[in-house]
Amino acid sequence: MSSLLMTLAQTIPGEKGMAIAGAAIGMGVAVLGAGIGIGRIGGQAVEGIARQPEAAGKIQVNMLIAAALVEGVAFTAVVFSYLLAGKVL
Amino acid sequence: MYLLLAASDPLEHVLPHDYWIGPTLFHLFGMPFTLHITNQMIMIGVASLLMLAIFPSLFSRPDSSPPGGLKNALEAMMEYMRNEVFRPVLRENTDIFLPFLWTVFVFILFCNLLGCIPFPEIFELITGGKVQHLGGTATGSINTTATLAVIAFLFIHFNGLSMLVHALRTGTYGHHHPHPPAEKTGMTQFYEHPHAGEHMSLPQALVYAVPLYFWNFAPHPFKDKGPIADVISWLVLLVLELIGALIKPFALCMRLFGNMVSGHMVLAALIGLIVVAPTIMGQIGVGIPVMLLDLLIQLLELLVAFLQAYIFAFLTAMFIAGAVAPEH
Repeated sequence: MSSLLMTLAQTIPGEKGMAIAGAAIGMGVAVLGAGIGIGRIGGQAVEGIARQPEAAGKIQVNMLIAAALVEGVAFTAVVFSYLLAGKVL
Repeated sequence: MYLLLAASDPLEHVLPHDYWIGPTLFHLFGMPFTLHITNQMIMIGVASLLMLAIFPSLFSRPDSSPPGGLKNALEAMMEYMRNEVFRPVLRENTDIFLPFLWTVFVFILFCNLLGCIPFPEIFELITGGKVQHLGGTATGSINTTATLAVIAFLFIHFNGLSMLVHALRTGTYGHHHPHPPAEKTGMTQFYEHPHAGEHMSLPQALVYAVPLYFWNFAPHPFKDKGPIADVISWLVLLVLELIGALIKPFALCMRLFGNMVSGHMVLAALIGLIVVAPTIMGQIGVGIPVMLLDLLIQLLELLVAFLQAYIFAFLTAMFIAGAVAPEH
């Protein structure tokens, strides 16, 4: 798998390929964290609704707020990775 | 026809394109500061003009008949924001900060929705490729969202200071929450607020306001364990709170920017998949699932447009509440 990564990284010659690959891996890890976080939020929210169906509206609102907050952090990481990759290119 | 498939490069959709490039004013850190007007700045103008055209004409007269159409929709959204979002957070200060919060909410909402409508492609088709990039997402430019975050930051702290000056002048400072009587804890000098109940003149209030604002900025966990423990714990927490005060508007900016840009980039990247398919049949075969997926993603983008405006307004309201009436 690392040889595949090296092959992809060397499509752009020189060290720039490795830098762009680093930025791409960073983006992927950040999105991984966001996926886990929002998945957990969604799961707990659905569980809460299953326990108390009459609180579904409030739980849904709070779920969306928490998901947007977690996603904000992921977007910050993606934007910084993109800027770093753009600095190299 | 490949004019329309400018989306084959997913970046071209979301990057700003200049309409007018002016003179280079000065050089800052080696980078030239050039005046220019981008398509996203034009969309800010369009959103503002739309707001100026809609709101005074709909809402200037007190009208007790049941509202219909656009007035009903706007009224429902703004009443929901006021009653369910701002009032539980701001409580008695809601009416003071409503104009700003409503303006921010409606501005971000209009900018996001105007970005979802494909004005650049419509104008390209109509004029046969002559007029390019007339439209875009205004909040998809980090300049716009950074400006909104800076405005929110300045508004929050200016209003925190101004409410503190008002409370100092009218003698209502220090009377937010009832404290347990001093006899119970034994420490009288550090339990009440240092200047509670004083009526200060304006210059005196201005001088006292900034240090008191910082004094109330961070909580005092060891308030009843003596002055040294109080100040040291306050200093440590003050550093954290100051970093937080800078990071919170920064996160507002990045959250809005990332959400707006990523929606369009995903759409453009998926359409780019159609372009790289080799044969016509291949392009149709790829095109149908891509178009269905793009429809669903566009609907998600509509939801994100509303949600991000809501989140920005809600978080700004929370920060205003934290600055204006800090919990003791």
